[in-house]
Amino acid sequence: MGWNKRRGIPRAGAAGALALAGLVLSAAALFAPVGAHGQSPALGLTVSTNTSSPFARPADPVVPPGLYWRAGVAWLPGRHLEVELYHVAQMTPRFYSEVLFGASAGYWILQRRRTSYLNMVADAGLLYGLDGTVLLNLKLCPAVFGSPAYGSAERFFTLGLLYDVEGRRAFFQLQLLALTLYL
Amino acid sequence: MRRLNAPALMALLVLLAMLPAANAGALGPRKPWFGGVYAGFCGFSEPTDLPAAAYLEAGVFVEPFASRFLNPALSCGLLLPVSPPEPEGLRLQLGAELSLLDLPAPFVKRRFYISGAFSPAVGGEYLLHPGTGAQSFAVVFSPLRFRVADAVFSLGSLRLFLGERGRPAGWGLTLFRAALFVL
Repeated sequence: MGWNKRRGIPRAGAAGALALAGLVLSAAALFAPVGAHGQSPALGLTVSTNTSSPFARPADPVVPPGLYWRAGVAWLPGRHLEVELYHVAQMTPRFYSEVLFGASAGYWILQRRRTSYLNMVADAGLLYGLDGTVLLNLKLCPAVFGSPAYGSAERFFTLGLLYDVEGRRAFFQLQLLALTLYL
Repeated sequence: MRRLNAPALMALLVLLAMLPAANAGALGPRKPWFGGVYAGFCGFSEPTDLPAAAYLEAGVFVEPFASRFLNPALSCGLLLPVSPPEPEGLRLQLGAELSLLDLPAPFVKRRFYISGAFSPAVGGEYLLHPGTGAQSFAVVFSPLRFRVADAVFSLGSLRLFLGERGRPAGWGLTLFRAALFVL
């Protein structure tokens, strides 16, 4: 990502184009007709905030401090499972200067039915940074409102653990809010 | 020059912001709310001199009119770096916002089962560190802003900080902000 230090404004680059494509895709999902959702398997686009903090502040953090967002695609076969491919990118202070790609497998603790609205999700996953960083990830979301049957789902206060395999360090993770739009 | 007592100023602003709530009933059923609380998640670029972190913003706002065009609102609150918690990033936040227009957004009802309006806004924001007196000013653009029931949601709002002679002095991004009418 190019950076104009004098003006403090990011220059457009490949990462910026990737971010823009993600935003356009998310916006398109918002406008997409709703009707086929609720069928299994369902496909969704997820965006969320993403905060991670080490338990003790290291001199060289694996995930540099800043504002991060997370965006990806979720696939929900059956009534419990969820598979997600996503990326986590730094938005500030340096736009897309840090990018991690991740995959996770989740389990909706209550069955997804047409009438079910509240749920909880536990998932395990792996994050891979372009600099070779590998992080293991365990998460639990205690409050999921919505489902593929409703066309969208909001998740609040997802708590997680990140484990840096090489550095043998653990991080606390919080995703304050996540929104999934089902196609 | 005598330094302002920031906590006392903050308390005074909160009280002043709440005083006009007594008139809310006179506005009639079309505008049952007068003001409320807001919270958001944001970050800032390096040239703003705000520490690299994920910030939580929270405070109170008033929106006294019900105009569909050029509807003003005032807010005051706190900006808190939460991940990592950096005391030097704390700021008092004073804002003015102008909703440009309210347009029906039928896709909101299709997706979330509740009527909504597309309501982009522009505004200005003044930030003040209560200890050091460091201050900054930003112009705020909120292109993805929606009024839904008794709330206003903004996604991807952009702050453009202005330095001497109005030159750009960095930028900020609010991933998500929710303003809930409670008064």
